[in-house]
Amino acid sequence: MQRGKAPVQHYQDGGQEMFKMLESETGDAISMKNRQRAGNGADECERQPQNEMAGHIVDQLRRAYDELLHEPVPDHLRQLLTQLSDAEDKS
Amino acid sequence: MSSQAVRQGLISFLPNLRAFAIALCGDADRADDLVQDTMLKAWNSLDTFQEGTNLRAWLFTILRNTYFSDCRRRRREVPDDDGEYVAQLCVPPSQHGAVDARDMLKALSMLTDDQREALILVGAEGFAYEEAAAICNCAVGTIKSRVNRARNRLSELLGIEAAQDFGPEPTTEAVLLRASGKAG
Repeated sequence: MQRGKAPVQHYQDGGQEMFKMLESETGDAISMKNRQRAGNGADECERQPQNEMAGHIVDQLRRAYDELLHEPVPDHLRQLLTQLSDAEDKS
Repeated sequence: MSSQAVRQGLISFLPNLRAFAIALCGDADRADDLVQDTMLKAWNSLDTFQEGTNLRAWLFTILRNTYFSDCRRRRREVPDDDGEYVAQLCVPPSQHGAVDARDMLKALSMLTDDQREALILVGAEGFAYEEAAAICNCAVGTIKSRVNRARNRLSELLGIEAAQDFGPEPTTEAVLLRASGKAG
């Protein structure tokens, strides 16, 4: 299922492409410090939805796993423990 | 540790061991066999269990080792080199925004073995990265990386590209967008 990418995809390069464009248009030199700040900001923008999505995936996984946890355990598995325990007591 | 205490421990962790086994192999019958083998091995190796350490982690270690031994044996018997069998299991979620257990199991089966076990141990069973690393006999960084890759791969397999995908299904979303004049 292919769907549209989130807008943050445009800043995957950490905002460097955006700064190149601004520099060529205005001719202003932008300090490396500012670039890094802006880059970090873009990373933050990107990280937030990624973290959010990772959280949703784990939530879905836990929900599905909970269903498995609540399935009844077959009797023969419980009985096996009793048999092992009894056998040990006898020996 | 007394046999009674171990028995109580085994009983209390049975649902977890079974859930882990099903999530690992994707088959309830095979999972029951795995749990049974695990219980027998645990019972027969009680003298190797160090009292005061984590019984749950010990049992999970036995189960995953049993599973991987079984996989190696099965690969020799029934090769699936092309991955055709696994590919058949890949089905997108039946209901948008909700992933049921079956969809999740199918998606999990598409992960690599090491990614799957890392994600289940940390994401579903709630083991700490350190505990999961000890169970899988690898470095903590390796587990972190596997969990991260597994999450990404899972979102790809389930067709989830963004958190918004857990919102309205595409048709509803399109209608809403059109109504608000954002789509042509």
